[in-house]
Amino acid sequence: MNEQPLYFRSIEDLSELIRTRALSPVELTEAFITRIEECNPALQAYITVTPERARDDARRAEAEITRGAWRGPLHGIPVSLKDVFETAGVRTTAGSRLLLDHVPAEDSDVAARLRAAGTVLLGKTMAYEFALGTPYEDDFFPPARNPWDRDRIPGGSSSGSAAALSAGLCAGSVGSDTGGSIRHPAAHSGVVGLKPTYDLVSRAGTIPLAWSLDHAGPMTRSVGDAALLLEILVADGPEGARASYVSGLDAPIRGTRIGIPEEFLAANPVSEDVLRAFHSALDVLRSLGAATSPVALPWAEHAEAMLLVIQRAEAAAYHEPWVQEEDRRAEYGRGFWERLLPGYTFSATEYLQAQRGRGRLRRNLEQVLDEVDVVASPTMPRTAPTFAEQAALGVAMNVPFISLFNLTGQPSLSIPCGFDHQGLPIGLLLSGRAFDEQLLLRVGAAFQGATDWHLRRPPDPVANGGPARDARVAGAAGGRATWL
Amino acid sequence: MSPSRNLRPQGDELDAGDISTLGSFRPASRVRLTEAEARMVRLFRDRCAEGIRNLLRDLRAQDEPATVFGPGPRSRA
Repeated sequence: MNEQPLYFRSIEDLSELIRTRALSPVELTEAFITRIEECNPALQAYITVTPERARDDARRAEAEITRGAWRGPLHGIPVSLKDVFETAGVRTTAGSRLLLDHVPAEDSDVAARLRAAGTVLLGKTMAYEFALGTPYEDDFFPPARNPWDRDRIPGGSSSGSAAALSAGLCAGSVGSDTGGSIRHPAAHSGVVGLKPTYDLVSRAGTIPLAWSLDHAGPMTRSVGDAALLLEILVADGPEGARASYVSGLDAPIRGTRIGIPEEFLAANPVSEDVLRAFHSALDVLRSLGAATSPVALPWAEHAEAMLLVIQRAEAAAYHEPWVQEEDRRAEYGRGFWERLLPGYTFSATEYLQAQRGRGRLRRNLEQVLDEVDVVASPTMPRTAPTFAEQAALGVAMNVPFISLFNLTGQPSLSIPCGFDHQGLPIGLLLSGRAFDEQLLLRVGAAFQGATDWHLRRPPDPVANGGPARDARVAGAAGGRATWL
Repeated sequence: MSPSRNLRPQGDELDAGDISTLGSFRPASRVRLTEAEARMVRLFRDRCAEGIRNLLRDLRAQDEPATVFGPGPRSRA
């Protein structure tokens, strides 16, 4: 795919060009800055763009590589960060007016790891307020728009990261996922999103939504790129050792046992287009030698209540200091405020029963994953709704498959697996045993080796009209990213 | 204060006007809720409370041992 513009090339390709000095990180960074200048007004993928920081990072990378000090595959690669990861000297808003002027003194662990790997920080990407829920018409920051159809949500809450990747506004990104917030936008925007095992990637310096459900993980355009990003995000083990997520990625998947939760799928309405794409994806995996069989997911029907009680109660606890202050709580957007309030109404026993049930669910899924290696389902039951359709849904959740794995802490990967009749992307969800990201990535890479869904690109937003078409998504902040 | 004051009110007892009628949370300053906000909170809470009641029913029915607790993947029964 070398005929693709630089901003759509994979990290793997760009890294090789940079390492061999066929491409300058400075030249690459300028290509992305130009792309952001052209496309961000139409997509609102970035809250804050950091061109000067990016140019400094790129010049440093170029100087180091020129003198033979190549740091690794991420050196000189332009990336973005969801605006919940604190960045030293760069404001971190969590998508909220409440943190409009919050400029951290230190990097989060995720930002520090990206910096140490020699990446180039292009900016901070849009998050729904405090990474909760979906866009709301009076949100302070205008929500990111789906590059495949700008009247539709890109999914969230890592909405800006997904939109930026899909439209070529960064080479890789890191998102956070508390009830599906990496995989939901990955599916709706046609990119790859990996929620790793709980705490595999450090959450230190990340603005929380719900401590026991929050995960950080890579978002990319290919599975190979996700493996590269994960490798630098994962903390060293007790002996200084860590797994390699890149080596063995192209190993065959013959004999891999894939479980299909047929009863759970039947109990959760899935659109015809999504079902068709899902079954086609299973055909591909079978053609690669995987064996599929039905599995039950005992207690999955309790997941929604468990997730909502735990998520909202933990969010209420985190936000209590601000809620106590009359002038600060007035700065919350109405959508977030309405979603936060129920957290103050749950009793301690309801929270603890939810945690007990969660332990049972995890053990049930561990038993399922003794019988099969991977559980596969559609990522989302439907493709991306319009902003108007989403507003009509209100606070309703419709994430039956993805949120299970926030509760269990097991890793879960969404990859593109097709399009619906309107040309909107569909995601395939692959979930597995705790700390076995290697297998998920291997299955995902095998699938991408046999398909080209991940290589399809949305219509160019520059050639396809200007900024927001739907006035309701302009945002109180006026619809422009801040350039630092 | 009557002992029942500390019990969480049932859904149909929630009032618009003051968040402190919704549960045990006691903000330092008064938090006013609109009728729409109170209705939304009530619906959401009732739906979750029903879900937790169903969960508890299954925990009991399947003799889930009360000695087991822990959310993380490394926690073992």
